[in-house]
Amino acid sequence: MNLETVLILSGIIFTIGLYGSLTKKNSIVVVMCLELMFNAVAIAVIGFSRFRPPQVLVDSDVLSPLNVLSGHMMAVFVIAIGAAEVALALALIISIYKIKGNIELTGLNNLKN
Amino acid sequence: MSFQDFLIISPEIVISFTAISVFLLDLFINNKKFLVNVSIAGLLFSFILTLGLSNGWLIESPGVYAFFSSIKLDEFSLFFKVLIILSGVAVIGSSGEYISSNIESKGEFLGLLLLSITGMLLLVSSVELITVWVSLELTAIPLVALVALGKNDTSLEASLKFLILSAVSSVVILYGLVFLYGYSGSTYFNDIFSYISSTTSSPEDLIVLNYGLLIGIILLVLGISFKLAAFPFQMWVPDVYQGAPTPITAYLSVVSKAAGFAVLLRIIYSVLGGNDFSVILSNLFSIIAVFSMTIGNVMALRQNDIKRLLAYSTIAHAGYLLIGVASLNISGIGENLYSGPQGVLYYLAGYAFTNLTAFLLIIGVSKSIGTFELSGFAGLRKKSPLTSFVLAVSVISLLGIPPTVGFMSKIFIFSAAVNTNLTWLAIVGVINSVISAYYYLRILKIVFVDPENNQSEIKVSKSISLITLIGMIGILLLGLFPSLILEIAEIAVMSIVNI
Repeated sequence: MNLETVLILSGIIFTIGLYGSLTKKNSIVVVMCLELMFNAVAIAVIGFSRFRPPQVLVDSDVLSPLNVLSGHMMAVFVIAIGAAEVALALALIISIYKIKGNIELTGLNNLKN
Repeated sequence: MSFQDFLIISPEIVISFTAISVFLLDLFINNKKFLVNVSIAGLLFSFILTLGLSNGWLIESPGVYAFFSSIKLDEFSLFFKVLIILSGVAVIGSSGEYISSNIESKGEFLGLLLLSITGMLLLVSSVELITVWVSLELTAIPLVALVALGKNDTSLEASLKFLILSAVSSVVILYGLVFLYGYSGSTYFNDIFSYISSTTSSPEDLIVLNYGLLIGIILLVLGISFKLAAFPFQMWVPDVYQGAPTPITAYLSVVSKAAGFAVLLRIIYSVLGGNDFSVILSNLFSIIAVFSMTIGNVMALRQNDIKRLLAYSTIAHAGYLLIGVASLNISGIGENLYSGPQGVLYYLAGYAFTNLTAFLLIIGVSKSIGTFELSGFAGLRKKSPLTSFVLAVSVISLLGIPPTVGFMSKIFIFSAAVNTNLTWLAIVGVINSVISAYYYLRILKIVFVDPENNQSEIKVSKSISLITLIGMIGILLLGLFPSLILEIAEIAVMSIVNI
């Protein structure tokens, strides 16, 4: 296992998520695809942090725990904020369901275009 | 963490505390007018603190770091903080009447708006990737909820569309940031810059690195185009602008765009500096600029809803602004090295005055005529001469006719493009300005020439009249004396450039 495999895995998951979130009709599925994208990014950042640690890259004098762990920290932030975003999406979907009775994105065409 | 760290982010602290107290006061107080006053008081207090930071009352001088060097207070961030806070005051100050009649959850409206402003203020001063992304999300998530707060179900629909595209764009930005982090090994702008500019790896390593960083930068630019309302992510703009409450539309079109450009400029000039990426970036921005201008202007031609029309117009203006961003001085020689970003800052300041005046007037007028259709504005000249004059000044400034600020900003942007050998881009910009004349002049024709078709009386509230009058004075003043902003903009740009 090396950086390339991790990045390829993350790229595949990200692409599935991107494709799904732009084409799917059911809004819950779209939210699931968004979550896939968040997790793909988390995989990538953990991979970078594991296989390209800053020691080899940056001179030793700027090395601090903050630098070494920044990838892991970023992953934690990604998970937390991804959850916040999904919570908001679910709240919106519930209020749309109350008004329209379904959660299909195709029904959302009141704004003229 | 020292006390100075907290002083540096004191404007943000004040606004977020104001937001929380607005949420809490909303539970106990029935007079919602009071909540508007509390919000404005908080914003003005943080404005005073920002002035204090820039004048050296609170800290010795700008250019200091806080919170483990993740936040930097420099002239650039102060410029945008002043711009954002004053636009926030204008939006909240003029939306008191709109809130009381059109919004059910008034406290949440104000509180979320203040939280979003806090996010913008953090965004323009952050110099670290995680901080950048967290503040981006702090601006985006409250905005989604704000778009949903309108009474009609079109605003829910607009909000869901906004949420999906906003989440996609922020994940794309995040993926870009992760690549920047992964291939440079640090999340700090300064470390990434020194790593990129002083890399001593073998040539093969360097190619891999450059491709990695390039992927990161391209993803970042594509994602940020959502915030700017520019080409690849522009399709949300008309729907959301039409469905959202009008004060939020004004806020999105001015403040969100300004913060997007701030983070874009900071990443270009602080992280990438003047190296091999400049050519690719310049081409990328040129393409985005051409598409944004053309799509915005051509689609605006056949709009009959004024909010939709102005939405397409903001896409076009994002295109003009991106000409200034594309004007990177690649060779690094000659005079006016940073005329591009300087023009962008001037344009953004002028655009804030212009667009806020236009949108706030539309809030006032449409309340009386009860529609956002362009035909409803017919005969406005007879009903309210002053309103139509102010509207005319802001539309003329959007179009770019002297003596308004819109004209001067286009001059600076286009001349920056010519200076950096992007003459073709400036020509495309001028052609697009000519196209835009059709729909801007159509607004003026409807307001001034067409006979009135309804008898409704135009009553614009005092706060909106006052703020739009100030806006009109600002449009003319900045247009006649551009050096007022240009000198500040030059200092601001110099403070972010890493050489």
